[in-house]
Amino acid sequence: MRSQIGKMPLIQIGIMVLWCGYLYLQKTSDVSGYGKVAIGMAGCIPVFVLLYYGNFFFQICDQKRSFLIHGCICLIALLLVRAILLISQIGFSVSLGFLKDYVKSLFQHPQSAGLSALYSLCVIFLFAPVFSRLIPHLSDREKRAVLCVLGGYFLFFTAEIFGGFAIKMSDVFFHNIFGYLLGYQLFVSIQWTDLEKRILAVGFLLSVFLTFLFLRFYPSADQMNDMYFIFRMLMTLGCYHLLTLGRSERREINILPVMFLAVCLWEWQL
Amino acid sequence: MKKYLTNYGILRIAACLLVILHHCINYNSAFSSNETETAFVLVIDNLCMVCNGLFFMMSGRFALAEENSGFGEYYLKKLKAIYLPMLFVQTLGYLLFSKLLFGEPSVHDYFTRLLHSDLGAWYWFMYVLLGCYLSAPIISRLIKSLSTTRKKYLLLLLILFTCANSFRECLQPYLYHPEIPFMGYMVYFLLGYLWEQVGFSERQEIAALVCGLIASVISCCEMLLWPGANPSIFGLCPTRVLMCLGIYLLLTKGLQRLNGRDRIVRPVQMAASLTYFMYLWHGYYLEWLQGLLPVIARPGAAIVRIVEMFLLVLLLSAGTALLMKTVLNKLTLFYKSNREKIAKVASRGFAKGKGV
Repeated sequence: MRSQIGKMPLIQIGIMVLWCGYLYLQKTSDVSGYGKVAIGMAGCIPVFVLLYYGNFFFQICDQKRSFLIHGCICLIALLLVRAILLISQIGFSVSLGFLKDYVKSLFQHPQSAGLSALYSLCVIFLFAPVFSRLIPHLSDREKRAVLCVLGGYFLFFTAEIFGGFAIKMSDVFFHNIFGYLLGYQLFVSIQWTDLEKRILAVGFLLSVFLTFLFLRFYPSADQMNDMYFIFRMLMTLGCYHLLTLGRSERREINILPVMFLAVCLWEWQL
Repeated sequence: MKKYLTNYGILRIAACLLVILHHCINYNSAFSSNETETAFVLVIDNLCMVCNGLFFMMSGRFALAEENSGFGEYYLKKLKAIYLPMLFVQTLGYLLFSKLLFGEPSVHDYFTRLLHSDLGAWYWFMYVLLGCYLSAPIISRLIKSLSTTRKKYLLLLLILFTCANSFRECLQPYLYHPEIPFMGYMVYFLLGYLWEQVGFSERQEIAALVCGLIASVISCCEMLLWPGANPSIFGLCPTRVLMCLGIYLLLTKGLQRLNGRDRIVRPVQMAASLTYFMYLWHGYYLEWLQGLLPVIARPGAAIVRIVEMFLLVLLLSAGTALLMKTVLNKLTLFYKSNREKIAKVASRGFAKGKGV
């Protein structure tokens, strides 16, 4: 009984409900003031899905069969969503022209947040065998150093936004969802002392507060929607940790691709 | 003591010369008088454009191979060796060439430009490299943690995404999808090191070399017959990657036997040590000579101007680099031999300043 409860996809359903709520609010409401702040704060929800799936992939990477099955399901979900969207736009026909349009559409920029996340999932799946090796290979000291580099870079990025300067540093490999994934993996794998845990908790609360303040009072608050803003990053990782309560992602039955498909189509209908 | 790798020294010199030649072509291609001359200049420029990829491959090869250094130590080393000299040259260059490049110099203008990476268009490379160096200690550990099969898999992913990027840009140009970790010049940064780590056989390397040669022909045909059809032709494109890999292998593997030959090592080491300062200075001289060299309207004028400019820039930047290197070496020696005295004077001055 206990093992069955352990396999219930509760976190995934929770994340998807939150995400749908967020997408609905974002698309339908024309809010200002605190409503806008709330939507801005909830901007971290889409990252939860990628974090969940990323961690899941990293954990099952060594079980080749299971890993490949889940990856293929993701790829199939992506191909299916693109096909459904294309058919809804131009109709279906068995011809070379349709096939060409379909291939072209696969390379087009994803127009919805759901589809964009689905692409990211596929990239995470492809790179998981490489990145999953890094953390176990590092010593505790090295893990702290990597976390410092990640934090330092995102702090620098934030300083660039607020300082109004732009050092054109580019091609940083963790300036994407992999920065979040590595950051979270490091966060849960480092042996923190009690004092450090307290400091981290204070840091998390401070990040939530600062994100709120900036979204409410900073004149160009739109910049805050950038997921690489350091306070938003800390808030997202902290919220995700609280949501999953440190529970291992591999202990749940994975229903994300199916839910993803539903969300993408629902978002398109909105 | 580590043995100097002459083959990599030669690669470094070649890449530096190609950068200067490419920039000279950029400045003068408009002076072509007929179609044949234009086509010739285009082909040469296309072949020169492997320079960026080669520099990134070489930087990655050495940055990722560094062993047993801590993160702080590594960053400090790069700061001292690369970014402090760059800041020095940028400051000096601003003082000397500001009127030519930016208008009336001022402290405010200097800092604004510095904070917006706007002290010379050719410095873009150094800022992209900054991102690569920042990632290097992590990537180095990542690659070391991988088995040979996974290294091959990573190499395959790089090739796959390079092809996908080129294909997508041909279909519909737009920015990279941001979730792909190794894109842009990071692919080149990884390629050289990863290739050596995987350890391909001689036959496979010869095959890669032949592929590079074929890629050069395809790329030149693309330039001449379908200009503009492939927007990624100079960047992250399979043909460009193969061309870079081909030249990289040709020089590093083909010239491996030169390593340890004393007669060649010294001049190569000397010339290679100047290339960084030459790169930093060449842009200023290009700007200066652009307005100085006469424009003559006759067949072959563009080629003559390119050659003239190339030789002059080479001479001037090599001279400046030599001068800077000599002064820096003497200053370093002076500091090393008088370290205690300097510390004493500094502490005395500090105490005076505090009123002790």
